[in-house]
Amino acid sequence: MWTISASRLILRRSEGLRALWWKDNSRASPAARTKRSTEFFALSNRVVFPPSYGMLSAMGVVSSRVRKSKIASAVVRLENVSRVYGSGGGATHALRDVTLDIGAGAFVKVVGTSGSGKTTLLNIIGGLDTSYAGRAVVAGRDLRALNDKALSRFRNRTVGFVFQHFHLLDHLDALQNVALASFFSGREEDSRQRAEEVLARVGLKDKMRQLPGQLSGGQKQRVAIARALYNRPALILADEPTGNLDTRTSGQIIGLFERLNAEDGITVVAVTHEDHLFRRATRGVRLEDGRVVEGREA
Amino acid sequence: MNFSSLGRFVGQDLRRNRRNFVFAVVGIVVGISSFVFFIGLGSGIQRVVSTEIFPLEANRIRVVPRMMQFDDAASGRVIDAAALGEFSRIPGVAAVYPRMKLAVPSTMAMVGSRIDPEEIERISRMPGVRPEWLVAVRDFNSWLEIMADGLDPRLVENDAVFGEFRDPDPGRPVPILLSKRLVELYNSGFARTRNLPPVNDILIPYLPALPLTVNDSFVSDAQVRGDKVPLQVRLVGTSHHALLGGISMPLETVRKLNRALRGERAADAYDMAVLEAESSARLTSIQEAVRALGFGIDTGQQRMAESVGFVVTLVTLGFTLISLVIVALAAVNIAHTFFMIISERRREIGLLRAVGATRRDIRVVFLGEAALVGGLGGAAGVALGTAACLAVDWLAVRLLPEFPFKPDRFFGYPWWMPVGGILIAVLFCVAGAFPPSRRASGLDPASTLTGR
Ligand SMILES: Nc1ncnc2c1ncn2[C@@H]1O[C@H](COP(=O)(O)OP(=O)(O)O)[C@@H](O)[C@H]1O
Ligand SMILES: [Mg+2]
Repeated sequence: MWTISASRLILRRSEGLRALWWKDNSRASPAARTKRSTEFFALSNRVVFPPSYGMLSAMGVVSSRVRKSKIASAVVRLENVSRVYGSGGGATHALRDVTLDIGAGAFVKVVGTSGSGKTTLLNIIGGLDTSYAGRAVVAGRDLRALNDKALSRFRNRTVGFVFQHFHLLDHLDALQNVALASFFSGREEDSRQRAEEVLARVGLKDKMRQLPGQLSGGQKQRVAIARALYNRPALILADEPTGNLDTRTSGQIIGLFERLNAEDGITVVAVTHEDHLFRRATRGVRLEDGRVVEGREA
Repeated sequence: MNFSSLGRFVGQDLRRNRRNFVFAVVGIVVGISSFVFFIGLGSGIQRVVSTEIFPLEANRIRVVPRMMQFDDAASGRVIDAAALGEFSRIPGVAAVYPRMKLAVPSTMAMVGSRIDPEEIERISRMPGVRPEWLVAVRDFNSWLEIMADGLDPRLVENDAVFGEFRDPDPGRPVPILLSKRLVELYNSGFARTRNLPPVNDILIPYLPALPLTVNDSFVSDAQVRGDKVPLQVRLVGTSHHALLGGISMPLETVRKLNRALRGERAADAYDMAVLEAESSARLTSIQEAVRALGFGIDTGQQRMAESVGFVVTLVTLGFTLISLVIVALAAVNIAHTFFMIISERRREIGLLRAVGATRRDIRVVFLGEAALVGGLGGAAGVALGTAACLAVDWLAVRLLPEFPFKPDRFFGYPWWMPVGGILIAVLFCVAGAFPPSRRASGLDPASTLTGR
């Protein structure tokens, strides 16, 4: 049978290739990038035959560099993931047998009532929680197989978290908050320059030296997003990022996520209550009592 | 996390936590400063004991004729030239310094009024000389019977600093050495109460030569046979090797006097010989060889030094232990502070994990903060302790009355004291921070971030 998706094929490739794809892609003009991503992901999510290199390159999806080194990637694949808190009579089944594929470049909104397991899902994808049953492969890594060091590196380089409550350190200014990941990245990079770069990207060029206490809710969330962007992640995981913001500000923050997705090709998985605000999401996943009831596959 | 990121991060965080650590740091500072103080005092006193009161010579032993023993055929050997030769042939012996007693008593008439007035006039012009001393010297009137011995000049070459210590040409004054301990007792007691000038390095060069009559006694004429020998003696220094209750002359001078007054046998009988080993490691085997030759070892001085030194060490150790207990309590305080900080900042720790901190990074951050707190506290403690040492030293030297062996410095400042102080502070703080840092690194990032 030839019914395997491109994303599945790509998942078998070594993890470094995916990063290569993104690096290469990020050099293209924004418009071209958008086009390529959409085409590529439309392809990767639906194709029912293995695409040849020739075909992909003919479509302009893979660059010469990638062509030389096999193919790149989809991002998240969960297979029968379950998560139980506690044990015996008081056990809570936060996730039940969740199977989910998220292609690279997707913009996924996750909805569901409170307690349906949304946060648990994000924590597992982001490598914050490895006490699950089943299999979770993100950016080519089987998360549970990683040791603490590799998992931390994964969180440092590959994913960026955005939380409802921002979680900024109050004693550090915007620049320092954004550069937090630099302490743990082991990279010789000018952390200040990079922090300025991402703060500019989220539109806070003039607030770099402000402490969180001097910023509005929307600005705080932008700083948090800049922090998530610091190490050029492939994937942003946002848990109710607009939960503490008014409607207008929420719209701006969501617009920012949309731009990061469309222009920088970053995969975004956002948990939300405000379903209606995420109009541009390429896909919606609904959780109910720990089960995916809708949008398992786009 | 590399070292420079750790440093920056820890610095950032510590600045915020300043207030939390104030109490703990006070404890560290107090503990370390008392540690430095007691170590300083202990090592200072130890120094006085081992260099001034019971000077220890690590590579020398004193050989004496053995006490009579009933069952020992070898007992009763005198130390003569033949014995000295045997000593020098013992493997490991680097030098032999014999000592000979003057076989006859001597007397000294110290009559102030007989001193050349010009000499006194000359001394009176010296800076620091008090007029009342001159009065006391002029009025001084004392006849002493004195014992003397002869020392090998090589043994005391560092002590005879104000003149050559050797058998003088005929008619010249005989150079003599006085016991450092005797001088100390004279200066702090006898001289003081009688307004007499002290015998010290400043005045010694100006002391006049004094008359000594050898083969003379005020006590009993029983030992006095033959003619009296009048001599002039001049003090050229003080020495630990000099006779405690008398004067020490060059060996050759005593040998000549003994030969002239008591015959050849008396010129070849030594009461002691100091043996110098090539290294202190050879001492045991040398001692055995000496005993085998039929001689004894005088270990009195060494035993005294050791037992006094032991007491000083014990007391110092006791006080040091108290200061370590203070530091340990401060470390417990540090642990408590960290537990508090960690429970306040659970979310923050979760966030650090989310941006890529490993469990180890978290632990290292807290241990690093503790090390920095300890280092700063320790450095402050060392500074404070050293200041206290210097201040007490200064006050003690000025305020305490003169007493025998009163040192000009009560405290020692060994190089390892500051290093050790800071190291101990760091060590205790890191140890104190260890349990909380373990707890912090064990926090589950997912649940801390959701506030569970
Ligand atoms: N650390 C935890 N310990 C115990 N139960 C938990 C924990 N985290 C979540 N749960 C439970 O798991 C379920 C799913 O929680 P969560 O993923 O936070 O849901 P959501 O984010 O959709 O509100 C809830 O019933 C919640 O009470
Ligand atoms: Mg939630």
